[in-house]
Amino acid sequence: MTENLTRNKPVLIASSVETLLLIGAFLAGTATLLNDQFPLNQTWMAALLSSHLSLAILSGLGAVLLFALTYLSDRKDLFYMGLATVLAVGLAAAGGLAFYSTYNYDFSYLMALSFVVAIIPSSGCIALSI
Amino acid sequence: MSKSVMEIYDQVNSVMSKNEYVPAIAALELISLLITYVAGMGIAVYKLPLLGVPITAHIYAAAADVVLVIFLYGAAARSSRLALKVISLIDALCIIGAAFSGLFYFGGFSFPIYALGMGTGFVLGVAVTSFLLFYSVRR
Repeated sequence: MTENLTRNKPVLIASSVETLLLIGAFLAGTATLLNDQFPLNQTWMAALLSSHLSLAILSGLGAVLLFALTYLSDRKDLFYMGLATVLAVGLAAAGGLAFYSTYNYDFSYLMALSFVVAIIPSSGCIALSI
Repeated sequence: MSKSVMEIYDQVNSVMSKNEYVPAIAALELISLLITYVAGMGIAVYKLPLLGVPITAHIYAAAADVVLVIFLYGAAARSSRLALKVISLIDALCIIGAAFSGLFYFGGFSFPIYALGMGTGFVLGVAVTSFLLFYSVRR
């Protein structure tokens, strides 16, 4: 377990950014869930949904970057954490896109559940690389 | 190579008992937070009425969250690492903030901002708890 205690700066920065983006995407998404009614007909509702989409796309890119950096770090623990993050973020993105095309709330629930699976290894990457 | 149950127990015990049992309590806290989230997000997404199994699971798991986060702060305060002490205090503030926000919401202030307060406390709490889990396992 304690194979390597050195700091890995690229992974530390990428995982910190990724965790913050996931938190922001969650807050915007929860505000959207609690306030918006689909289909949208108000500007502020569109603003909430747009902020959620922007942060979600940024966190998807951040997850890919984090995975690439954990792969390059040559550490098994970091690699598995980055892999778990990118898989869960991908599942959440797929759930969100499926929800937006079908308005089926099962996909919204899938998005919520895979989000929480994504943020645990993302925060774990900070702890293992700091 | 197969291990005996006793060897697996010893291995888990040596990992989980580091830093005054912070990893074990953080793992339990994380499981309890996940139960809270699955029940609570089910209510929010499917617009379920506040009765029956989901709200009961949510309230009991939330009570367990608060008890466990106080245990977590107690264990971290006994450990020798300043980072664990400070971060577990932040964790306790997040979880207790979420709990009070939920109590206001359930107590009649049924505005979305209190539900969002629950969500904010939860998401900061789950990030900080998983940080504490992996940090205390590693050091």
